[in-house]
This record gives sequence, structure tokens and C-alpha cells, in this order.
Amino acid sequence: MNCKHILISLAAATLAFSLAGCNKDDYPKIEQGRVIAFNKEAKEVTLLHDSAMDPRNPVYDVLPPALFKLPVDPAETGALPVAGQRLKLDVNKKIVVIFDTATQKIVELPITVVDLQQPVDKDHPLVYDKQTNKAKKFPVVDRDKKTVTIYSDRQKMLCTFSVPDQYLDYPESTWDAGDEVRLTYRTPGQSLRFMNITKTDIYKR
Amino acid sequence: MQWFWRTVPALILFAPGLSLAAGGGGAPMVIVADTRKLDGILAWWGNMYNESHLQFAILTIIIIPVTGVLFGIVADIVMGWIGIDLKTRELAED
Repeated sequence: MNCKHILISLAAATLAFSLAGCNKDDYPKIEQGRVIAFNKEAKEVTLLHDSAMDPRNPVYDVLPPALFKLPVDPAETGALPVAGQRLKLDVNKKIVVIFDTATQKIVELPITVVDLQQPVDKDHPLVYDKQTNKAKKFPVVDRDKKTVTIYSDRQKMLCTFSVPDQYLDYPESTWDAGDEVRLTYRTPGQSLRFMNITKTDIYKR
Repeated sequence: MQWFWRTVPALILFAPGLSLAAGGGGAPMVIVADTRKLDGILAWWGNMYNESHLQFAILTIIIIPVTGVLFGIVADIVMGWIGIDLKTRELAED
């Protein structure tokens, strides 16, 4: 067998390998969405599916929420997620979209913007305390002034707004955006590999 | 001398681990490739990464030399077209 034969065999093997795997149904499915609840003890994550499939403009509008168990193998689990129910903040349309845990529905709330700072990067003094080297905690709910202050890293925006009174008693996580996650699964409800997109910086060394 | 042949492979094998420890530890990073919008060979490629890193690594190991050879063959043909003869050699000085 000369070199040519070996190379042709290798190329053929590669082609066969490729064709053998072309059936999409043979591979695990992908789910991506925003975490609205996380049970650390039960290792269960509840997320709202991203129907837009556009990383820059996600749309979380699919109900009911999907419930997945974290992978059995801990090595297949990325950073544990933080849950939050804020799905969208649109200061132009003056709305905030939240997942209402009480009614299990997606609710669009009208807001009145009190203060808006833009652009605000992660290390901006308004959101980052350089003395302690720690990011300031958001959201801030001011029940006296009846306002909520949110920092959106994606939109580079620090926004203070007021919401209808009945929503001020909701937990702080209502105004927080949960982590964005992506997972693979074969059996619905049991993930095989779990990635926390929000907390994974693939460019970090 | 026997210790040498035991120590060197051990150092090579465990050096990455030792380096990680020296650098403050390497947190495990789990990545799931986004194949939701992909189709055909790209979908297959991404799904293979998600399914098995071993299969992905083996295929990469096969593809890299095959691609190299293909590029080499194409380069040979192009050089032949533009008149560079790589198959025979005439000595300039005798």
C-alpha cells in the first residue's frame, strides 16, 4: 500500500464518518433560554425558551416554562445559574416584561422612566465600586420613592423607573434578569450538558 | 537511569495540572455549541462537539492532515500551471 492509497482511504473514511453523522435526529437537542427559577437542592432549572434564536435580540415568550434537571455528571455542568424574572426592559416603549411567578404568566408592565444613564459599562463608577473591587448590587427597589433601579449589562444602561404599586411588593428577583443558559438533552427534562452563557467568558484566559 | 524514564513522562503528563494549580486553579468551563440555526455539515460538526469531545478530537486529527495534503496537491497543480517545475531538478553548477 503506497502513500496515495493511504491518503485516499483516509479521505474516504472522513467522508463516510461525515455522512454517517448527517442525520440530525441522532444528536441531542438544544434548549436555550433565561432561567426564571433554580432549585439548588433538587438541581432543577426552570427556563423560558428563547424563540428568536438571535443572540442579540432574544425573545422569551414560550409558555409553559421548561423544567430541566442538571446533568448527572458534574463535569458536564457549568456555573450554576442565578434566577430572575425580568425578561425585557424597553425604555423606548416604556415597558418592562416579567414572568409573574404568582400567575405563571408573562406580563408586560407600563413603566415611567425616572432616570436613565447610557452608556454605562460594567466598570462605570455608577455600577462598580472601585474601592472594594466589587460590582454594586442591582436591582434596587426603593419602596418609599416607589422606584426600581436596574442595570442592564447587555443594553449598557442604568435605569430607574416606577411601576404600578401592586408590583412593588414582588421579590427583588422579579426585576433581575436571570442567567441565559444553553443545554443539550435527549430526554425532555434531563439535560446532558449545561452551559451558563451569562457566566461563561470564552475569551477569558 | 530508570528513574529518568519514569520522571520525564510523568512530568509531561502532569505539567498542565501543576501549571493550573500554580495559576490559581482552572475552573471547569462547559461549552455547548449553538447549533439551533445550523444545517448540514455545520450542524453535524457542532452537534458532534456537543455529543462527544473524543469523536470531535478524532475527526479533527483526521481532517487536519487530509486538508493539508489536499492543499498541497492544489498548490502543486497551480505551480505546475504557472511554470514552476518541482518534479525535475537541473543543477546550476557542475
